[in-house]
Amino acid sequence: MDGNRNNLPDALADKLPILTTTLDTAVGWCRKYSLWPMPFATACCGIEFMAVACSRFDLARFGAEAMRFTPRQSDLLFVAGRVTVKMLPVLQRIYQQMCEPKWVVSMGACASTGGVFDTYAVVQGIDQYVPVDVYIPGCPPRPEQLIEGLMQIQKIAAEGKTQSRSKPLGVVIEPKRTPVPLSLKPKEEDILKPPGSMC
Amino acid sequence: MSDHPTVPLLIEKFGQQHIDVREFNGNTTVVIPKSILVDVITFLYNDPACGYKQLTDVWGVDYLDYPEEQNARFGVLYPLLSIDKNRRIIIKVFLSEDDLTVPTLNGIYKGSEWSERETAEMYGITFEGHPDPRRILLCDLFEGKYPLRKTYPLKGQGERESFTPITTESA
Ligand code: SF4
Repeated sequence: MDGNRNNLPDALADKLPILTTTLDTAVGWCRKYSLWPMPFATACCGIEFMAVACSRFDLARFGAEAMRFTPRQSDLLFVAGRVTVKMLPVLQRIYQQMCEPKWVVSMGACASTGGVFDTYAVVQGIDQYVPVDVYIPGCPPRPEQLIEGLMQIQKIAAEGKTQSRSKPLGVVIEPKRTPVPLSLKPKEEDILKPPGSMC
Repeated sequence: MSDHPTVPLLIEKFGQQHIDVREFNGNTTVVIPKSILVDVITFLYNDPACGYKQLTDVWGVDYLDYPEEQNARFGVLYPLLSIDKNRRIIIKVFLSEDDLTVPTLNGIYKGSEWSERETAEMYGITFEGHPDPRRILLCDLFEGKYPLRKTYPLKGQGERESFTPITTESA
């Protein structure tokens, strides 16, 4: 929190356990750690999303573990998977029902572009029809990327903009890890063991 | 010739000229004319030596531009399973484009209802006597369109582009 002790008289600032701030900052700070996601999981990306929410990657560390299956109780929409033309009106309705301020994360190649499913039944990118704030590429994206996407949302939420935004953020999370070519496969002893076996 | 034990029974009952047997990958497919479809299926269901009590699926095939010559453009397939005898057989009828109707099997297999509705909606094949011939899977944008036909464009006819976007303000 951007506390501002300097506006207080010096004598007071040192002695009192007081921190002053603006209401927006305080509210933004609270919001940042209490995002309530609504998982709109229509395909395999949903499985990866479950992994992120579970103990190994633990979305609870970011205060976003309270999954709500009703849009009226959530402010962060995770679109995980392909959206068909039959599902799109449902997605739009769900977006409209969510509480302000709200954010949308388009997870995976399918939600963002239609992926390999370039067919009559699949919408080629949900951003044509609903505002998308953060795009996460991958098929499916790594949990780390998802967490980074969430942290982007947190950043915006913390800015304390309580007015509804007129433009989506349009942030793209880029994969950080370069894939290793098969010829350079790591040796057995270099492979990280799962956390369980380390302790 | 097939060594499937059901084939001789079919030939004996319905005559060699109506039974065209094809073997592929261990599957036996029997092609029959549409006119005897219900009789053949009823026989396979009731005959104690056959006992095909389960219809596993119903689907259509569009043979347009198929490399091998086929009897007609569309095929409808009925894979049957005999749980008693642990045997499968596939019954197939061909439909030409000017007569896309086939009798429903709903009187024999209740479970054919939804599969037939799906085949009807994807290929535009009419199942005569179907108790509930409504469309089943596709949304209303596909009314009167049959997306699994080879003539239908893979990317659709603008269905996926036809929605109204919502914006941050309008939501
Ligand atoms: S991006 Fe890949 S993992 Fe995600 S829904 Fe599409 S196919 Fe499945």
